[in-house]
Amino acid sequence: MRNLLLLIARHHRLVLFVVFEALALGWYASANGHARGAWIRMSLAANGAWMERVARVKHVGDLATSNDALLRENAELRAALLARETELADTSGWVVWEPPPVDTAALAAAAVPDSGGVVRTAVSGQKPRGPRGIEVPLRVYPARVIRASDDRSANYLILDAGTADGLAVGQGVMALGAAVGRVHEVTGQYALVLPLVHTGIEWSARVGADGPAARLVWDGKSLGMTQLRDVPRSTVVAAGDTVLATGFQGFFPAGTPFGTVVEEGVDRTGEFKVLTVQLFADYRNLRYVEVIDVGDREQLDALGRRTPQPE
Amino acid sequence: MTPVAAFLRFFIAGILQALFFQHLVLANGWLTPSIHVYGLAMLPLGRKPWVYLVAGGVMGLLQDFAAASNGLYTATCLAVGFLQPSIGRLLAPREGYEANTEPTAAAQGWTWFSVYTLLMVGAHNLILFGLEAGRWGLLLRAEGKALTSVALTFGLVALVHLLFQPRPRSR
Repeated sequence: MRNLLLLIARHHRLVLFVVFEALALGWYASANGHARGAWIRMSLAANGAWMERVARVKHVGDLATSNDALLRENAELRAALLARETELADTSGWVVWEPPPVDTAALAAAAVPDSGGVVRTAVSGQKPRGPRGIEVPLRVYPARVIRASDDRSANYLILDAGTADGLAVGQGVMALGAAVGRVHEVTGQYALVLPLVHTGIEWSARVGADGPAARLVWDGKSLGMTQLRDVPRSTVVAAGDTVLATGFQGFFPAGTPFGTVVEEGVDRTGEFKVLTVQLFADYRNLRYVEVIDVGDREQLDALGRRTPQPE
Repeated sequence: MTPVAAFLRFFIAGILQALFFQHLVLANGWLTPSIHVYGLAMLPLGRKPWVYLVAGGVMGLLQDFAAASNGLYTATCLAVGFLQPSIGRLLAPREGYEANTEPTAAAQGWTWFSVYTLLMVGAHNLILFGLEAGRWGLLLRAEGKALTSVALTFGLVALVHLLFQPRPRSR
């Protein structure tokens, strides 16, 4: 024990460094490249206003005032359009119309009891509304990108909207109708978004509306290109095919476009195709985005958590 | 240079990086300034090693807070703080440094200052970009970015040093 203490005293500089460095690396590794937690929320709250100012200065060069107004209007119009499309597509609460009987009193009088002695008359009227009624299950919130990194393997975006604006962790982020990323951490005023161009995240996607589900991942090399992996070799794919979200992860509605196939290859095992996908989202010019809240996400997540795990 | 002046330089470099230079990423990340390393490099030579380690930790925490990152800068600046006495010793004269020796071009000459700063910034960038890459496949590209960014940072540091360094006394 005494020798150990002497050894530590002799190499105290190294010991101190190893302890501090281990703590720092542990902190970094625990986030797994996904910055999150109280530290990040504090940082966003403290720096958000400054980031907004810097973003404003950065945008001065590209006719900020008029361009921003047009983009905001575009985002709001798209939000309204998406909400309308969802409303029309959601048939769960539609009123089912059936013509009423011509004369219910006469029909009732003419009704003959069945073998059980029960008189059955034609049922008509309105089907009661489903539990969701015609409520739009998809909410869209416009937000502005106030900071973005596009030069790292763990890129991120910071938006000027937070819980006060309806944002929550797990919501999808889109720009001009295409998938951009998902909300990863949120404060009252700001949100941290992990984009598709982040090497630590996988996205559930398919080629076309009917293709098999596969993994969309970014290899960290080219900003506009990702790979769709684990595509069965039997899948017929052509350059230009659109890659869409499956909707399984709950970040985006099914069918949200990611990008188009530009190249086809085979993985190391030779069993699956690897498709190079050019993303629709232009990360170098992102200014405004729409944050999508897919309805019932919390309930679906809760059900998912109840799924028994293999022992 | 008094400890107060060294502390001010350390603090100003950290704040400048946090507020301005971290937003100034050019050429798709191939030119990323790290001016806060100047604050670390300008700490007086010949101090106890733990001083550089603690200074590195403080600078890293400040940058992590400003950049909304989890420990990336802390781990990097701690490693730079650990290496700093060794870098100083590598370039030391035979008799060693006196306590509070200034690591400035005026005191040590531009050649010494350039090599010292390049080693400090180089160590910082290689560790930072290497950690950030996170996988072997991206390491080569990341270290390429680290080296090109060293050139930018050194240019900025030299410019700042030229503008603000204390003038050598004329005889």
